[in-house]
Amino acid sequence: MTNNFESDTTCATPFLVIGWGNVLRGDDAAGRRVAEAVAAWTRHDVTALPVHQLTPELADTLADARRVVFVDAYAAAGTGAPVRVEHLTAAPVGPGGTVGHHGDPAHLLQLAGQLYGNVPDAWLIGIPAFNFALGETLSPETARGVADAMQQVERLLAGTLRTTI
Amino acid sequence: MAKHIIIDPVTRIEGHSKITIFLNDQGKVENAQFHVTQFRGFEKFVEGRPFQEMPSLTARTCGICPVSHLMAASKACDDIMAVRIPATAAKLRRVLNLAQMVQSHALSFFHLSSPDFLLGMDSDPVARNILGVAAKFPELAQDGIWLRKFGQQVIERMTGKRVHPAWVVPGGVSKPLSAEVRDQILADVPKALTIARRTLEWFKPAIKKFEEEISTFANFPSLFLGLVTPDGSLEHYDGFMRIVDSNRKIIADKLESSAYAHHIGEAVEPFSYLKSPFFKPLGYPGGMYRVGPLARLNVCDRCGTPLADRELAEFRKLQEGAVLSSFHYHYARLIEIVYGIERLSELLGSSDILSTQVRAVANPNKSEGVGVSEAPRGTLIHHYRIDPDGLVTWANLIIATGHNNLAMNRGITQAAKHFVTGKKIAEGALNRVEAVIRCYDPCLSCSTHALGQMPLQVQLRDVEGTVLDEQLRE
Repeated sequence: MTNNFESDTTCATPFLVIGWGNVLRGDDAAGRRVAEAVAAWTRHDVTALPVHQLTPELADTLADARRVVFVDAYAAAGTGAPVRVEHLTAAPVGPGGTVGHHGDPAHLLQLAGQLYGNVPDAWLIGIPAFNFALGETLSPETARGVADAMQQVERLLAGTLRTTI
Repeated sequence: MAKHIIIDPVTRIEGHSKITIFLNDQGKVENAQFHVTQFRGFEKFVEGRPFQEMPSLTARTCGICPVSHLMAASKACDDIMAVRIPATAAKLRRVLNLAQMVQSHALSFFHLSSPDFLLGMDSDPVARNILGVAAKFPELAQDGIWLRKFGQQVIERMTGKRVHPAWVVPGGVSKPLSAEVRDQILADVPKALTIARRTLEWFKPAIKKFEEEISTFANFPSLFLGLVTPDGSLEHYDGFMRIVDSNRKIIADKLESSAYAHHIGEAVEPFSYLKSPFFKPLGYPGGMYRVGPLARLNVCDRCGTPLADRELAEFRKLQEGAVLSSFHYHYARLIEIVYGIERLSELLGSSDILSTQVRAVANPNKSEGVGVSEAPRGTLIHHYRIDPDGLVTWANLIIATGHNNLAMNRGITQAAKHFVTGKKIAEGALNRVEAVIRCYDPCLSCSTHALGQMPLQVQLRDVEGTVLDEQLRE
């Protein structure tokens, strides 16, 4: 298993953004909104996947990437909660763990390494969310978080990191 | 003193449920109940909506098999409009429905159930998941991932979306198929077929290690219900309903979709939100029947594609009459994957598959409509009534998992009686009772977000409700 961000230039997907969430559940869609916006860049070196949930099938796509950025909403404790950026490493499923919407993307990285022999350099951007009720609009603060997350994606793409955790 | 054990939640299924096992005064299992603890209410809240919205609305019933609801809903709308959709549209719907079946069966077999087959029913529950399989059997895990992705990509390529596509519409489909998409799908068919056949060749001898489970996982006589073509072949999109008994004797055939209510009743039990359908002529609960891959292979005369027919002939050697053990749902699922790949390949090779005539347009011409198709888990029935303005006034959905409710309850009772003894429930016994439910691949939720192991609570209570024993899997 290798981490190929620095060394491998042959990856099919140099920079991968996976944003997930339920677009019918208010702020839960924040991660998907980011991925949809990145997809609109139409850059040949950037692939964006807005998805409903994380599934094991993503493992082979991950394995083709040099760097991956996961984007998801997190339930904020109160106003002023920050957009979080953290570096991820592959991790096995622990007791009670899952591979799913509430699971850790680290499990998918683990799967990519186990099955395809490659774990990309990986980051998780968490966008503060306040409203998960039925609805297709983001709350104003989460919408600002989406804009902030887009800047973080651009920084990660440019290799500039800002870690708050 | 009577006692009961609660398994809550049941793991590696789609949705939320729990199981209660009741012990008698001697501490032996007396009965077991499968509780579906979530309530959706789709039939009620669609009232007042334009009937044309029903495919999109009801597809939200499920995040795993939205295509199935699109099919049944669109067919019910076709019925309301009183149109016969263009032949190409019907073929495209069939391809989509088969792709849905392939991806759903792959999810069930590889992601949810293969950990039991590969790592063992008694293995460490911490590792008994797809990651555990990937660690020890990476090639099989890769096969599972690839096969599911194949089905999902067919859906995405044809409709533009992997989940909740809106391409199937009343009157047909919204957009014709392009040659590019057809060729992309067909290019993947050989690998998909190779994987499906390789998995079958591994699984057929492997099931010999599960004789005890085969004999006790809902292994009893029952009726079986499924769609067949007019000539009795395996069918997933249209055709007629057929019911056979445990000897595979046909007891009802060529049942029209619109007449389903004459044959199927729906009972309600106080312990579950899931209704209990039954075959009316035999009453409740004597009219218990099963649907899904096992039932479809039991009701049909043939599959209608070469490789699947060869596999069906071997499958039929398992026992005379209908194959009764629900453990063999897994085997049947693999045969249906082979069939699905063969059949969608045939359909995509049709000379008219790229025709641009793919949608009939009409206003409502009837006040009610029924649509029936086969979801991966079994027969799916949508029935709507509308007012003169085309607004839905009443809806009835009978989902595949509901049809199997009576059989699931009897199945967990059979397994619990065999595997559960005493006041404590061993991990292996617990997993086996859950595995009976997983045989049916029940889909209880529209948007379950978990694949793998979830927390599990087991409680042993006496008749007053006092907890005598409790196990938590965290």
